[in-house]
Amino acid sequence: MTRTPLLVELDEATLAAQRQRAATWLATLASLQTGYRQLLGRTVPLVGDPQVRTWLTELHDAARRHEAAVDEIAAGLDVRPAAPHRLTALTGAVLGLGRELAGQVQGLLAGGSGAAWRDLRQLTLSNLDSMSAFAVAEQLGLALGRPRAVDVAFRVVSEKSAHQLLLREVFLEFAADAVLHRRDV
Amino acid sequence: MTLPTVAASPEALQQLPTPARPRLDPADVLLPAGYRAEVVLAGLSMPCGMGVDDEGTVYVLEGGSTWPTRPHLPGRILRLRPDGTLDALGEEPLGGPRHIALRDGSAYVSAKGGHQSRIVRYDLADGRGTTIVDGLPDGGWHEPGGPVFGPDGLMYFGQGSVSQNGVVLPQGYVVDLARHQRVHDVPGVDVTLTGNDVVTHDPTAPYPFYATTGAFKPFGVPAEPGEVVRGRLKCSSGIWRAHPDGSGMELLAWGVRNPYGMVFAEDGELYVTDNDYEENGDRAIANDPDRVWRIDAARTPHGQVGTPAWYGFPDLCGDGLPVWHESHRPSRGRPAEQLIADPLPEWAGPAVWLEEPHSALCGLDVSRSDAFGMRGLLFVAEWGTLAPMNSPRAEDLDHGFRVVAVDPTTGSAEPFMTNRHPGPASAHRSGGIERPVDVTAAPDGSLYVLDFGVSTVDPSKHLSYGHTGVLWRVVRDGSGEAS
Repeated sequence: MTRTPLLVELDEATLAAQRQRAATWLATLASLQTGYRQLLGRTVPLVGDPQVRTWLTELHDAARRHEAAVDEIAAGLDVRPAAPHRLTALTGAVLGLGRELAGQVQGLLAGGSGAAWRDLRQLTLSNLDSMSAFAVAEQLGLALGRPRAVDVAFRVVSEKSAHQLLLREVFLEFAADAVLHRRDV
Repeated sequence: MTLPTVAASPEALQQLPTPARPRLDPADVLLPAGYRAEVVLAGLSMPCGMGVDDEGTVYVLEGGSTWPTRPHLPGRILRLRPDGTLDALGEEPLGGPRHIALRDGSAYVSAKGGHQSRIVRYDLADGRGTTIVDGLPDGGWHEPGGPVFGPDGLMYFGQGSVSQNGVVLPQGYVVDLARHQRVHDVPGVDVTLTGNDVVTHDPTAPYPFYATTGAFKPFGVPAEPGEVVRGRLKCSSGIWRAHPDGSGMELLAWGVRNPYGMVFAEDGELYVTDNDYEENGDRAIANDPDRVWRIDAARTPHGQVGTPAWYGFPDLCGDGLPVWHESHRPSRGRPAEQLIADPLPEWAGPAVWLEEPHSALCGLDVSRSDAFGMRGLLFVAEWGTLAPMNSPRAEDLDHGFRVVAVDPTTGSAEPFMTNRHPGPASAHRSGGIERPVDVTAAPDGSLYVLDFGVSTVDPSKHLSYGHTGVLWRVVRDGSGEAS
């Protein structure tokens, strides 16, 4: 007896529903990455240390590339981003602003005086958040059997992991200056 | 709960909606003359084990968290009935189900769990599960084996080692250290330690601080020379048996590194597959063969095994040579030193059969059918290598990715189910097999082969894709035989 082969959860209705959920996540990802990139853009001019400014400028360039990578991931997942980019960017800006305001308040409460150093604290959180969102997209690509999306997301997560080390390092390196000596980066 | 399925024509199998595995074609699978492969299920997510009952219902276990642990997908016990309906008997939480045995209206399922593995008995009528064995040490790396039922009506099962190579080190997945920070190997008998601790870096620290770790110790905890570690019934790398309700648990053997596959053959012997050490990291071991053990202690009457037999972990390789022997000296990583002080326990080898390193022997079954042929041979699934991650040797890159037929009486083997080219089908864009993980001889005289799906390895990453697992069925119908 020959059995008819069955495809498990690969019917169009199941796949369409999963693609829609993935698209919603990509909208979240786009907003988080946009917020991170915008916060970087505002921080760079505040930084006085030339080496740190160079580092953050490089991170800003990379952040633009990573923002564009969301479309590549969407194509790899065979989905369209759930929201137009303008709306996504606006959402990201709002999120970034909210995060920035929270950071200012928390940074001031913690005793840090410099605006750039307080932004560095927020950048560590914002990069971690957006990096995790890319890592989630990687998991979606793995779960749905889509290597193209995985390849792009993996590359971005790798770069942002290195960026996270740099952000944390600079933030901590200048911490005593900011808190004890009331100086900025 | 019935799962959505769609019948697939041969043309549909050529255009699957999973780019990681875009096509399946039984014609790309090589078998001996007279045998033919067909696809039964496709789109499975990280399947790890299976069983078939007397009525022809096929049970397939999707693994949950597997190799690597991400992404976790539902660890379901799927049930494919002869009429083609597919539902889930149950679902195991994090870690997921691995193997299943069907007996007297129940399904006995081993589950990897979080820190400890267990066996759960499911009532096939209502799907309710009851844990009957729990607390087997599990560090997230190696796997439960069994359960299988012996001719004595007892339940036999195993659990692999916690560490990869005898000491808990960060050279596996760092996530294992994160998830299981206090786990460690446990010996099956009292052992005295040499104190040959391993110094390595600590990836859980903010900076790469050094950490010193001893055998049978959690990461970062050293051992002292001459220190005695007490053996426990619930050890790691163990093989046990118990009554079907979990009572009367008895340790038969320990030192079996990863006893993934277990089967009783028609000769009444218990055969167990086992995987070799890794050639990487700060306790690296080269050229350790994969192997099939015969567990002689299974012939001893229940309750009368005094000292459990020792199969070598963590100090002997599958060939019986010590891990520090010149033939096992690594070309990458730091050479291994002796962990258990002399005299080592008596070795229970030799193995019934030795296979190339990193073939990754998994599930096995025995042909009990004259119609299928090759009666008495062990059909062993070879999941395939993780090189270059666990071996720097070019010759290890293609090992595995097939099913072999092993004659336990002679220690010889022949390939049974392969691709046209060595390696997984995806490496050659064929529609053949990827990573065989289990084999089950069905009562109807066919042989089911469970294919884990696409799992790629390169020097920087190991990735496994959902919805790429396949259940194959091999039948003997005279295909390709000369008339």
